[in-house]
Amino acid sequence: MLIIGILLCYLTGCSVVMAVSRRFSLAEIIGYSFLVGMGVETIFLFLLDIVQLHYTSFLLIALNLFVIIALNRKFPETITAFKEKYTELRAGALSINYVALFLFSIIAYLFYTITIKNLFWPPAEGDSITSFDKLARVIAMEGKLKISLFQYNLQGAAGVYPPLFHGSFAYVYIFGAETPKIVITFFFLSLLLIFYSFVKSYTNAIAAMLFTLILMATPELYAHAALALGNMPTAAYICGAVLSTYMWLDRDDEKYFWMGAIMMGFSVWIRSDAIAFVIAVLCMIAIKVWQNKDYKRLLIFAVIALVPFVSWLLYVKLKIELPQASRFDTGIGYNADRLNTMINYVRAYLFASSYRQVQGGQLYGIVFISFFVALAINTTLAFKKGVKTVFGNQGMLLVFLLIAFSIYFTEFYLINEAVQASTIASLMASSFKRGMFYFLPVVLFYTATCYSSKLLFDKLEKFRTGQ
Amino acid sequence: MAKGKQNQGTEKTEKKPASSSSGATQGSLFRNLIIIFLLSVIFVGIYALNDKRVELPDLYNELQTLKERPGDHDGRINEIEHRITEIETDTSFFKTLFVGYFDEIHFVAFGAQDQIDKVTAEIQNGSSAPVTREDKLNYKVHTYRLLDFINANTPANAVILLPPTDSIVNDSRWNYVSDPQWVEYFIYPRLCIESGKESENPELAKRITHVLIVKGIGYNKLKYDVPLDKREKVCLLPVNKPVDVPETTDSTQTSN
Repeated sequence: MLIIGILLCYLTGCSVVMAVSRRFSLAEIIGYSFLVGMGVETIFLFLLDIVQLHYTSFLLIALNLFVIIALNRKFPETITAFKEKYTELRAGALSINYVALFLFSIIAYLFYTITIKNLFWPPAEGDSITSFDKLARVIAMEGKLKISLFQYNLQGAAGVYPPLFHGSFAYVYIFGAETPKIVITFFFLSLLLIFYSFVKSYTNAIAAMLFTLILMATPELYAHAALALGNMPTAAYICGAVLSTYMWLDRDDEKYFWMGAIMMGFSVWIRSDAIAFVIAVLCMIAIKVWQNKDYKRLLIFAVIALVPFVSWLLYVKLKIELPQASRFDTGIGYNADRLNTMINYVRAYLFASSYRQVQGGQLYGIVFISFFVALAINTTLAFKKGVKTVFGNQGMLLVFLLIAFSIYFTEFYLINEAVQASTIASLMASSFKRGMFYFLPVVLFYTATCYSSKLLFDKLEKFRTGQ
Repeated sequence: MAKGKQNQGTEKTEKKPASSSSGATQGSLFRNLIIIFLLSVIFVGIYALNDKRVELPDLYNELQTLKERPGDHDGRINEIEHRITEIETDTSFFKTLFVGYFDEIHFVAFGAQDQIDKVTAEIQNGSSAPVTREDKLNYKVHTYRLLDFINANTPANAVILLPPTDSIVNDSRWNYVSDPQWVEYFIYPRLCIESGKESENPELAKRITHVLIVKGIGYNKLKYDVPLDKREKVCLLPVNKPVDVPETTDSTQTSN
């Protein structure tokens, strides 16, 4: 049954992706399909809860089949699209890039080892036991989102989180899984495939493989590929959302507009604090809209991205009716000690320094350092070659990073320690640290595809091919 | 959704760099091998930068064993602690950047299967029985047997009173046993509440059926007296006096 559940999730996601466009690459189709599919499955769980229908695997199978059939009315065209991709793949396979293959084999090995570790251990992390996996098991058993534990305040901190992450666990439990961690492996795979396909579309296979390897091997992220926690899956959605939107803005490719909006919607359907990224992405779009006056696009994007966020807020308020003190203390004003503590942690993460128990380099390796080095080199080059030549549309990505990070930082600055039952130092050392995952793909995407990297990898490719 | 405009951007996506991945057929295999060799040298170099860390797990294990074993091992303990500090503090900025990669490659990528085999053998303890989810949880969560005991000896509608946090806070053996959010995961559909927090959930407090006694704390929550000589350090007792059980014995009582 579990295989049927996973297969249906992929097929549903694939149907949505193919309805958007049949011209995605194979890596994009596989990567997006799981993320979209799991998003749709949790929307099913949400809607079934609203209409008070008890979850069963057969009901979910029926719903999936309905969506798959409804979206595949032009099935022969989909088959033709896949045949074309197969032909392209065969043609590509004839010209082997040994360096890319070498890097791919390392990626495959690392993926294999973290997967066997992930699948061996059942969830045992504190947050998973007190929240995510507990919610998922009980949701699957009671057949509804508003489980009985809410009545006794035993649902855990994630009880008010949007349902995509623990809903994905519940989905596989409904299909008979003994532990839900198989979905972690699929989230990780999707993240890598989507990241690879975006970098590949701007540079060459070696750069794309190398930076995918750097992304996957980021120590803290790699560790999370074997943990039942929601940060890495959230990073996968944010990666898909931001890079798709950037691709749409940069290349005016319609299909990425829709994928960007859908993925952004799912980003806040997995974690409400991803709203920082929605705002930053909307700012990125606003820069473009300022030039072309296409306000309709901005509006459509905003609606698709915000509907899940608003729906969940209403659900928590009206259905769960959980009495909540505000997580944020907006009257905090200027607090030098707090700000200083936060800045020291941020410095440790971004510049690989150490602060208290945190060793930034141990967590994120070369990711942020290489980004700053690339940025410095590009800035120097910009004096010689011109800002437009060196930065081009990538300025939008830098604006995005700046805004997203500022909002994310402000969110933590305003957190009410009493309500959160945790000190700011402890939050910075745990929640903030894991939230840095959301920036990794975008930061590495910039490093891989910026002007100076392109020069370097173009030279390497010329050497490799002897041209 | 985007049918009408699907083709709009496809031509633009062709804007690939001139140097896209054409194969070795165009270049030489030799040049490919040179790059692979250079990349391998870089990767091995990064690995070798922190290879002293290989010693750490054994050093930590030995340190823990010596600390738990009675006798005078101060000399060796100092020696080990000195070596650990030497390795852990050998962190120039450049080395620090690659410590995480080393740990991940050495202990996870190269060590995952070995670790799984070792844990499996330890759990199986000579038998060939398949290792279950419960076995693994029991391996990871050292209070799992106690929590499992609660499930085996209470009805599904039981409400368990957990020990107060301040009574076990300094004893790592009982980590989380006072946390209702954590315990609930293992005992659902039974419910639980922390001792001393009854006022936060009065409805649940009224329904308490059992008391989990840890480190001998919690007897005062029972509605009957247990003679001092019959008091176990760790046990699960019904909150009301069991009618069908003689005063001096208790069928639900257990030691851990």
